[in-house]
Amino acid sequence: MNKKIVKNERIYFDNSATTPMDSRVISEMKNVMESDFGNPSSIHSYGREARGLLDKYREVCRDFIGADEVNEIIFTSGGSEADNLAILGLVKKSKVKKPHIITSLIEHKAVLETIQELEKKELIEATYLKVDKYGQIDLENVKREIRHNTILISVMYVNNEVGTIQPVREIGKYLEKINEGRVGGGFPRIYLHTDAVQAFPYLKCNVKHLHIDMMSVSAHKFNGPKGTGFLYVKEGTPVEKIIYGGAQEFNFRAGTENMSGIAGLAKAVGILAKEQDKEVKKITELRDKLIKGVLKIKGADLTGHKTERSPAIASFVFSGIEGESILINLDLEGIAVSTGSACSSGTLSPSHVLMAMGYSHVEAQGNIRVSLGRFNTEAEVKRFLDVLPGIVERLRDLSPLS
Amino acid sequence: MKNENIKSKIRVVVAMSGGVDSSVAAYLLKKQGYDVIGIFLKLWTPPDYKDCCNIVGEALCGLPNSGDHAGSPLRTHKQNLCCDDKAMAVARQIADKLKIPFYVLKVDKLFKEEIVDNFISEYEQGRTPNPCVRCNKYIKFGYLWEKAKELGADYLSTGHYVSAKKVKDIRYSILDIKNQKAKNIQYPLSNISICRSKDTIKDQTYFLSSIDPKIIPHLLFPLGNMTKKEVRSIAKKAKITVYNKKDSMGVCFIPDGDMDAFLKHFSKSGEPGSPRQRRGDIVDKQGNVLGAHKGLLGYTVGQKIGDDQVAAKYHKFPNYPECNPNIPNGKSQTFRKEFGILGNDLGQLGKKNFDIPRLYVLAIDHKRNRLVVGENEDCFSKEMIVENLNVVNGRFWEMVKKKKIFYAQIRGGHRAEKCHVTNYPECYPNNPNNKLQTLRKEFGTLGINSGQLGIEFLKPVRAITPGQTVALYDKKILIGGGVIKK
Repeated sequence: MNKKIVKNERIYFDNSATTPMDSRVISEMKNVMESDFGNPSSIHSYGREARGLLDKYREVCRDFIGADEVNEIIFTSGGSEADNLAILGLVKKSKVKKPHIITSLIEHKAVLETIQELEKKELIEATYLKVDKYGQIDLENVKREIRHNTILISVMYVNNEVGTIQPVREIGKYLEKINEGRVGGGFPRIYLHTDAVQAFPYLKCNVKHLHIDMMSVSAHKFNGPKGTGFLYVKEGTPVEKIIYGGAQEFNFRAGTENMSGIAGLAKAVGILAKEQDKEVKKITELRDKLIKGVLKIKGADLTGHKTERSPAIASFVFSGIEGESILINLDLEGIAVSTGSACSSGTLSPSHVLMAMGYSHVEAQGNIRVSLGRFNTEAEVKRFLDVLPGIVERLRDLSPLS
Repeated sequence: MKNENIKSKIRVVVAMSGGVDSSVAAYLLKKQGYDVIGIFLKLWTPPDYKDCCNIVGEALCGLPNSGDHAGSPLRTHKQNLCCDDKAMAVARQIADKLKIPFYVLKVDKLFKEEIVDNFISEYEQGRTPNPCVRCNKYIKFGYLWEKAKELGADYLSTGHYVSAKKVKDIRYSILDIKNQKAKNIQYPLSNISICRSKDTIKDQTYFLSSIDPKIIPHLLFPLGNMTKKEVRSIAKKAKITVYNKKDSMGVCFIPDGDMDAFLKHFSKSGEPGSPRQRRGDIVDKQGNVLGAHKGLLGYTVGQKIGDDQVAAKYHKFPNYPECNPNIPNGKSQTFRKEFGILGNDLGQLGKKNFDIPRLYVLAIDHKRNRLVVGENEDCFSKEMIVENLNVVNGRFWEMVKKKKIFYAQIRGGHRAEKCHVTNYPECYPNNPNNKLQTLRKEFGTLGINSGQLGIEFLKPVRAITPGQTVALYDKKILIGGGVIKK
């Protein structure tokens, strides 16, 4: 193979941060932008056409996640807004004087920061569940932490940094079992929210299967557009809106609907519905090849759970060197990966996820995350495995630690 | 064209601050065809001052003012923080425009530990530190060079007004090459010397006098043979948007320039009631008490004392003539001598209406919590002792041996004065009693010496300030640096 040509092509291995858009999604969005500009709230024909499309898109989403009603899908500006709406919305509507929320130490900042903010303002009590060395929470811990005033458990389905799958379904089943008794005994019902942003492209996110009340989804993580997502809110879940100014989205979220974005989201969901199984198989194979190759490098270790992990995410720690340096060197070679979570790379704040998993400050700094996606190929994995060992070796040679 | 091809394989990391100088440096390097990578260092900003960059004008004026920095540029430029997000955005835009890869590296922890903590502790000990000198040593030409090497860089470049020149004369070379080969020293061979820049006002060699000489062969200073004016005009022609941005001044981690408030807040001994913040006496050289200070933190040798009453007492004005309404404006020395004794004044006259000869800090005696003051003439002295000597050019020892005259600059903006070494037993490599002998054999004659160096100026110089960096020159060539002990 002509190496020079391959070298000039960039490789995108950061699909957990965002994904390239699928051309089918782009053409669907383009269509909507060109021909259906109406406001779904308008009474006239333009409005009705837009409303018809919106209903159609919502139905695609409802169908895919196995929800009962279309009004359980609340379109939002993405995963962070969905997380905010789930947590703030539930707390706002709660009748409990100072409700208690259980979450984990490894949540996305959209969940963690929201809960910490409420806690700081003394509006709630919060418990942050610890994780084991694989980055997984323990159902028994969840059971132990439940209090009389607990109203919400928010646990992500797949961790974005290490890819470990969390026992969301087990929590859901357990809550179903105890909630009846709680309500009968005069205690508040405990709702279960999951941030499924990373899980959605690859794992079955059927809300019945998971026994959940709320689920956050973001379109740009599965080849859809940025700025669009949805929150599944099971009918009867007491959530108050956090964005005011209109009765859109069944009065859960004000603002004229982002029609093209929602069109893209629905198209991306539609593609998943057809191709997910095939894609998961392909990406899993690539991931396993990649992991196998990287682990041949001395001092390289896989983080997260060995088997219960996302097909797309492979996160490693390299002893004695900094992930940041590996990342920049790979970037200079045209290969995009990430370290820690995308927004917190730096020397002072190593990944809160790896720290929670028991890695030391220094170990956590040696982290890089490779996240695969729809358009990655075996040749790309091969080139990555060609390039990486040399970089690691060179950095080790320069490191005063080794 | 051929030249460009070679250069395109030479990788240069350039430290970009978002200012004119580093932007033009990056621009010039890119234009010369190097493989350029831009790096922005995110330094430490004090947590309680977070929003300072956005506070304009009067908002901070309620904070205590020691008087020493009043009217200095420190207090007037509120937005000098080179590491704020705005500067980062500018640096990124310029890197984008130049089509060079750009990365932000956070060095807040290291910067806090090595620069800020040291800055505070130096003041606590009654010394006046140079944080920028230390930053160059540990951050820009320390940490960043380590990072640059990790990125496969051959050179590190900054927008400093410094020139790195090949000086042919062997005497100017960093090392005696023959000697080095014989001893198999693994020091990089180089005959690159750091020289004063073309722009004598902007020259920044002083601030580089503590850097590890090992890295000098790896430095590129594209602005070394330019004036600031030329740099601005290049920036303007190249449409670099920051071409007319103000020069940064002051201490970057004290964005509002209020050093007094900063030290009082961050110094552990600045806590109320701690010894360093205890009121104490202001005395003259003989120890006569002239007045009281509110705590020694933040005082600097050579600094003007604004207290009229202390000055009046020093000059033995028996009363405070400022109160006498009969004094015509200013020049009232004689008048005061005549009339001061009459005293018994009720009125007040503005300070600017007359001038008592000012007093200056001569020494900070923190053992006895006293501030020693005297007249301007008393600030002059000829001798100093330098520690942490850092030899950056082999010529240094040659000059010491031959008792040659060299130049010493004792603060930023100071004009270097002629001097010679009077005392060097601990530093001089040929002294048989020297403990450092082994160390020097290993590392050549360069780098840090833990010994002390006695220096005598030919003429008295004003305000030799403990804690300040001294940079030593052979005419225009930087040969070493150190810290003034006393």
